[in-house]
Amino acid sequence: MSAEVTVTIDGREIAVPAGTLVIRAAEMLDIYIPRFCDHPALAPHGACRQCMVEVEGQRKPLTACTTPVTQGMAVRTQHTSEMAREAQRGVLEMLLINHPLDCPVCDKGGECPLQDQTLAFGPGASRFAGEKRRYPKPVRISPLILLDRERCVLCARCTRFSSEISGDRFIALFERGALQQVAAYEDEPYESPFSGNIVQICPVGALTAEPFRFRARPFDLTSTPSVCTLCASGCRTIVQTRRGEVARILASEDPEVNEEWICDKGRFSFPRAQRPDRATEPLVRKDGELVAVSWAEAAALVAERVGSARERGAPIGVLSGGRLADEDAYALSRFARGVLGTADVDSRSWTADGEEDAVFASMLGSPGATYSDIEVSPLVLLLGCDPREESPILHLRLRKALNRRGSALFEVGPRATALAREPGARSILCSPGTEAGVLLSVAWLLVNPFGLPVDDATKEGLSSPGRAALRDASGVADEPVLALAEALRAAGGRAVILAGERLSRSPGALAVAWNLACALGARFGHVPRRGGFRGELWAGLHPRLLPGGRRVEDPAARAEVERVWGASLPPVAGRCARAILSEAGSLGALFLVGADPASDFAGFGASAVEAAPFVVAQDLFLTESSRRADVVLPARGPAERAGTSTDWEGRAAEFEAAVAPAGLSLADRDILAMLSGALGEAFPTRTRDLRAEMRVLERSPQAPAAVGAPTPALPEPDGLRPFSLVTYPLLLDAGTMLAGSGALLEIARRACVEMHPGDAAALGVSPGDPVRVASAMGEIVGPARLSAGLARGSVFVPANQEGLRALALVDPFAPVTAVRVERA
Amino acid sequence: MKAAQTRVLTARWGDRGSHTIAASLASGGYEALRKALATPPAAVTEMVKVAGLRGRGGAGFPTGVKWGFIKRDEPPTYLVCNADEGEPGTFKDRELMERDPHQLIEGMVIASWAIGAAESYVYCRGEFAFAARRVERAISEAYERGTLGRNIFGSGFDHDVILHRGAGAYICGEETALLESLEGRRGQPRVRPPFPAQEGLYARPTVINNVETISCVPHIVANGPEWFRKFGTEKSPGTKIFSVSGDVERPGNYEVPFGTPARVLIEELAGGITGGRKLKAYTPGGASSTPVFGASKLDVNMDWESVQAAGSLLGTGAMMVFADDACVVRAMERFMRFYARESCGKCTPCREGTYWLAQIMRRLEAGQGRDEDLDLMMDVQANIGGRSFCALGDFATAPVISVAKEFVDEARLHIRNKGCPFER
Repeated sequence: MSAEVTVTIDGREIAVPAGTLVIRAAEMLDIYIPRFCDHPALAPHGACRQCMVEVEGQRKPLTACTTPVTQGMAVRTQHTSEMAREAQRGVLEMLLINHPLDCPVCDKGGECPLQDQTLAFGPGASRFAGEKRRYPKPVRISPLILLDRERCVLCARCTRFSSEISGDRFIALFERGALQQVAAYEDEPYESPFSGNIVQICPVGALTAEPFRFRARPFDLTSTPSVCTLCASGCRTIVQTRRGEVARILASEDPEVNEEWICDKGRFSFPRAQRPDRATEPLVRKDGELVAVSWAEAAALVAERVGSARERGAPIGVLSGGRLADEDAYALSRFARGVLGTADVDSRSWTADGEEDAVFASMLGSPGATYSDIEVSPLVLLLGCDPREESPILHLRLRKALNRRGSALFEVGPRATALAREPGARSILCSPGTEAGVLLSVAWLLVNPFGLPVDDATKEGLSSPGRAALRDASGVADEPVLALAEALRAAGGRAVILAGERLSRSPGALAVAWNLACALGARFGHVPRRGGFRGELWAGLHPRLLPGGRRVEDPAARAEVERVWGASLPPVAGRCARAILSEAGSLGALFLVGADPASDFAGFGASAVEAAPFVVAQDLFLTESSRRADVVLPARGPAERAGTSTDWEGRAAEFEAAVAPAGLSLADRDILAMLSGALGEAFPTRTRDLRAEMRVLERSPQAPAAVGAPTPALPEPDGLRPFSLVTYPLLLDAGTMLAGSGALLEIARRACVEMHPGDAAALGVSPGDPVRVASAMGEIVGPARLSAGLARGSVFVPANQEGLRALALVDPFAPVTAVRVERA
Repeated sequence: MKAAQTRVLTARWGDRGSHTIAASLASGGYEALRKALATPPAAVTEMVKVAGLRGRGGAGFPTGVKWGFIKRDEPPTYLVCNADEGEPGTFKDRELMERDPHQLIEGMVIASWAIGAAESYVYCRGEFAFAARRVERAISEAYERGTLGRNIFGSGFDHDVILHRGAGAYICGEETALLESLEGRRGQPRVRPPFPAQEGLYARPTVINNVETISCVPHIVANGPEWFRKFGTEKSPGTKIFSVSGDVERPGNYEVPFGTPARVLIEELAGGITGGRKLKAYTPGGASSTPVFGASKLDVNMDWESVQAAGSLLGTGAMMVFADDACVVRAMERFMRFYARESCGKCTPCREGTYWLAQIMRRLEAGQGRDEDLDLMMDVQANIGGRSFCALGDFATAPVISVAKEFVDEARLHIRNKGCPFER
């Protein structure tokens, strides 16, 4: 397979793996062969014919993009062959006969391969004297994407991207001959969270994006390499600015991470920075109103109130929300524990008990799964995560593994993800909260018939009576459990187990998943929803963890941190976010740094923020929480400050500031340094000092170790509310980071109440009927949507869609919220 | 009539009810299949190789060699019968299906036995509603009589034939586009390699043969390869059905041995030019044969080698005949329009080149041409031929080359006259 062959291109020799295409081999020699349809990430297509080269012994020129090299092949490109030059000239002339001469008004002008190649190789004038094809323009194939068909060179990159990469075949080529054209279905709109990529790979100006159309010329833009922090995928991007404002965001290339794709959320949500509710100056509540003050006044007020709370010994709560850069997260952890002396620190917006910290502590100190592991793994077990909605680039990589590498995927959870439709994927639907039971059954099979050696804690969990009961409650048959166990056994250490943050809603499940990975020697990855979460976790924004995944209870670990900080740390574990919020009234102060509990915890969070006697909010926006705060400190947004971001793999990437900060906003780390100063405490004031400390606190990697598993608990049946609520935010929702994103929000999915057809029939509900979902916290009414990809007895409502916010239903005190469902 | 046809494939055409299995069985139908199923598959392939059977779809590739590419022991493999007879002027496959569908089915089962295919497909041109009905009916008759289905003739060989109707695109006669269409996608040719013999239908080894080719197979098996080689020439053995149309007295399909002179087909079998006019031109093999022949080529022998030696291509054997008052420029302009419409649009040279050439030829024919148009046309066609994705682009150059090579004076006359010099 990987035998090497030697090929000569333009007289230069190179050895490449057999099967390499001529065009790729030429690239390795830095010989550029012009092309339009060829794209390294897409299957060879051979349509545009621009890359024709002369191959010795062949009568006709061959396309470099479809011809694999063979031993001893001699290739001559346009640089050395008249035949190749002539063929390429002919194709370019033909591509231009139907192409309009509208470069001066075309958005692609300045970065257009057709324009560039015409300039380099094309004729000065056309011999075509006939009639060009004309179309009404533009066609709006989605709210975001516009198509000018007369500019299209029919390279099919966009349609191939849709079928090969993103897997949403909403665009296709229609018609024949010169009338062939890209089209979307009349009755099904082009709905894809990856649609912006087709604009970026279009080699002409046929596809343009609404947010950029006619806004700027590419050559007037300033580019800054950056990292998208809207989710934990870690995509490399290029932020392009004009006159200090973001004009466009492009996908940048990193074969290890996002390859060359980003999702539409990352690409098109930048207009939020210019929103009117952006916090641009420090605000202090005076007579019930937030009024603008100087930084000095705001800092003095915070110092005074926090100082007196400290003196009284009143607890101080510090919450972050998974949105901070690593340096800001670290500064916040240092500020909370070292300066404020509190242990009540948390970054999670979900309810979780004891097992998480043990798993996270071991995970942060050991090598975990990567994108590359996923791509070559024969088996991925996906738990508590819907990648298309929560980590879109992970979705693409999993899709690639399934479609191109023939991997297998098992997912266990109450709702099938979009990956379940892919070849080799299998969805094991279980009742919400019973994942632990299914996983324990899998472990049981692996240990008993298959003889997998496991640690004592796992063994203990396996023999607990809770396992069988939970397994019964899951509603899962024996066959899929056995199939999963067999697949894991066969894959062994080459398996990858991915757990999302929602797996914690089934107590014990995360620990079993982790222990399974340890026992198999498989790679494990934790996929949080928010981009800053991994960095915040590392920084110790967790009630039981110190920087680097050190345990609070471990005196030696504590001493290491104390040495660096020059402060003594509380030796006790703090409270989790939910516990802090439930006793907000007794807090001395509540710090919200990029945290919005009034949204994440809905009514419960809002009351807590109201109840807290003194609330300091560091945020980009006046959110549901920060508008209730006593002091609002404006923070800098993603493109406005430099920093580091760590993706779900634990891979860190630095980025630079791309635009000027909004108003008087400061980076979170600088705000915290200012507040420390006001409190009379020393604090690093430079990013590089923070980074130096972080490096000192980095632990050397250790082998992942199994953790003790809590006894799984059976969800209490609720006679009045027999259904279980499944809810999580979709990629495009009514969230803070998306508001004001214009056309992007038009492709957000409409809210609905999703239920199993069997349950719907029992309740007399037809698709589209209004359905009432009521929990102990509240009720909502939405249109029904039936889906067999949902466990019986469950109902799915997206957490935060416009007009239907399931967050309002969520019971913060129960892992799974019981609901009543009826036709409204 | 001085000459007579050599009826092998068309032997049953005159019989009443020739399309029924009763008529077929009464005249020896399916006996070759019985014999083949008692013969090792490799020996069947060898027989076809020795017979020298060549593909009748236009390219003339040796059929036995094609079958030999298939790894029979790695099922599933497939046989696909290319019945998408779209080449202008060609209508032999249609009549073969309408008049003797059992000959085709018998040939398909034999071929499938040879390549180990449990399923085969007839991809029938969408417009051939009648032919499709006849084949469909013949398939069900064959199942009833046990010449299709489980355990055929007690041999243990199972075989199913599935009829699929196309949607009327010329490109689907191109074998990989046909496979795309058969799999339910847009008919556009595939990147090769992999070739269909490696990854064809549903990415499995696949043989694609023309209707006429497959119809030859029962006769080779029944009578032996030496018998088959008695017809035709050394390199083009067997008989060939020529579709003769245009300005002739008796247009129709005529089966003759390869190597029969064109004169015999046009002047004797088809009854000569209508209305006592003289021959001006004829296509030796449909619109795609480059170039059309003038009257001086009337004595060319109709086999692959001779037609090629005379400067054109035998193609499908569709002889469209033009009398001396026909405007060849106009005919070629029609052909060009056909290619512009039927180009699938996938590759640039074919899509844009035919669009361009159709415009040039239209103005030439309408008398609005310029002197430099003739050179421009030749230059544009040179950028299509040999540079397009599939052979459709190569064929699409035929009308231009025909005008430029054989009828350039007629084209110049259009330019000078500022209009067509012919009345008709």
